[in-house]
Amino acid sequence: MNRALVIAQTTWLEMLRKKDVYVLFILLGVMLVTLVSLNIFGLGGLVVYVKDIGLLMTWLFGLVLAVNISSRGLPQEEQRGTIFPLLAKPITRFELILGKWLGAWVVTSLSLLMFYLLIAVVVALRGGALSPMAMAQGYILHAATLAILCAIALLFSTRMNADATAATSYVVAAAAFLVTPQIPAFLKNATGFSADAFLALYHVLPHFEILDMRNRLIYDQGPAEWRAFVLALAYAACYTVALLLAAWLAYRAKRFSRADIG
Amino acid sequence: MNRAVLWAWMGMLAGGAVAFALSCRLSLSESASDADSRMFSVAGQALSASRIALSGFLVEQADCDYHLGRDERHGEAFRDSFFQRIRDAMAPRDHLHLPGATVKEMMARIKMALISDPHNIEACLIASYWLAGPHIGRPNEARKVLLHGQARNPRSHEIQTELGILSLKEGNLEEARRFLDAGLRLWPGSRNPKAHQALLDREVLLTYRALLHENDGQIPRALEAWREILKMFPTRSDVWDRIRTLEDGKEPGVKASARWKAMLRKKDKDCGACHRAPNGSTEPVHTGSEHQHGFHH
Repeated sequence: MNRALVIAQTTWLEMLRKKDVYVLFILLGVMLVTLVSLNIFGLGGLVVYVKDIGLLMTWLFGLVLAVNISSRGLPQEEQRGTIFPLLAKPITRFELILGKWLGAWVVTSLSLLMFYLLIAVVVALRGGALSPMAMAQGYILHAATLAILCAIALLFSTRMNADATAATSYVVAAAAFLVTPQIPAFLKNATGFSADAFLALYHVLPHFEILDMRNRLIYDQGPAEWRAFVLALAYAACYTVALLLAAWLAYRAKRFSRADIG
Repeated sequence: MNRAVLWAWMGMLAGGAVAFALSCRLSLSESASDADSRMFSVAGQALSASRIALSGFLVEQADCDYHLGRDERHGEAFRDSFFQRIRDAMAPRDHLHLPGATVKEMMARIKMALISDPHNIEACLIASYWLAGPHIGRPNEARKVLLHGQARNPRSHEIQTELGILSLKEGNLEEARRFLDAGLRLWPGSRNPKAHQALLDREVLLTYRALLHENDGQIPRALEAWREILKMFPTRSDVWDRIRTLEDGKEPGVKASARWKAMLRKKDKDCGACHRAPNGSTEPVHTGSEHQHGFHH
């Protein structure tokens, strides 16, 4: 576990050096300030649209960070040739996978925390409020979503280059966000093979809709019931573990050649 | 993140924002005829189409705000899977509305819909409906929105109708007459004159106009307007009764001014009436109000 932490640490240091998170943070801040400066028919104290657009941007930025950071971890090591000294050390491939995932997930989750705090501050300045308990639940489930996304990108990166990994991960994420919740409605009119295929997709694709508490936060509906919260969290944990195991299976027998170094 | 990819993202976002702002700016600063001629350019059409789509989406989002984010989930093949149960616990499905003065929260979307597409008459009517209604109670803002909408959509009878009703509410009968007459001249506008909504629009215009004629003592003109309504809706028994009373030279049981005041009170009371179907039903709910400018589902 310690060795996985050392690998994760390199990702954290790299992200501190790079400016990605800061840029997205400033971009979110600018957007929120622009939103609150709108004159809405002379009505003051409107916060629902600020929360909604702020949280939407947070989900979007979280997705971008998770996919981009996770998708280049392993391919970069292979491209630079640093994978050889890394694997020469007393480190297993599972620890390498775990370290890369942990590094990406912690960085994106901490960025997410900054985004949530920024939204809470802007909403408070506008005279609104976010229920602390609901916000904590929403943040934890959002971080769980990022755990799955990081694991998906990492799984693809074991067998693809960084660009292909990012593109494929975005496609899977888009399908999970946009298609999966609609499958029960599609199934209403589907029969035969297409119905079976939809049903299989429904169970295979990740269900991010159960990890999305934006409506509760936007419309002040308070925290979700704990049973549902724990079940959603357990689902995300199981899905992440399954993806990490799949990534390890795909990576454990992978052979590298110095001729492949770009 | 690769620096080039980051710059590409930033460029895309900045480009999109500039294009959107430019398209809004163009539509806000030009006259309707200028807008029509500009529509012939490919870029103009592309931007216009996306602005219209965005505006429509924002109106739907306002409806979603009004229902506290509860979306309609009709027609699912199954309803009790593990994922659906958790989803329903996370985002409840019960049918609720923004209470009292908090309805103002949805006005942000309507404002953005109007900025995005100033020709979105539905957004303009929804804005004035809620602003003038009892929950927000800002008829001056409603008037501003309608006048702005009228400047952008000079051929809309719907906006003239709302301006007429607003003037009537404020007791400015002269202005109400002017707007209602203009509405009647412009009807049906772009609508099919036989469409049910178009007929309802005309009925509203004629009803208020007939009552104003009665109030002015111009009974023949009032009768003419009432008969026009009967041509469209021959089963309106209250209109038949009123015509008979007026033809007999008698004073109607409910005076014209009392009747339009009752209609305006009903309109205020209907403010917030919901057309959305209850959970599990696929049929929309109709409130029975003859002319709603709330959300249509």
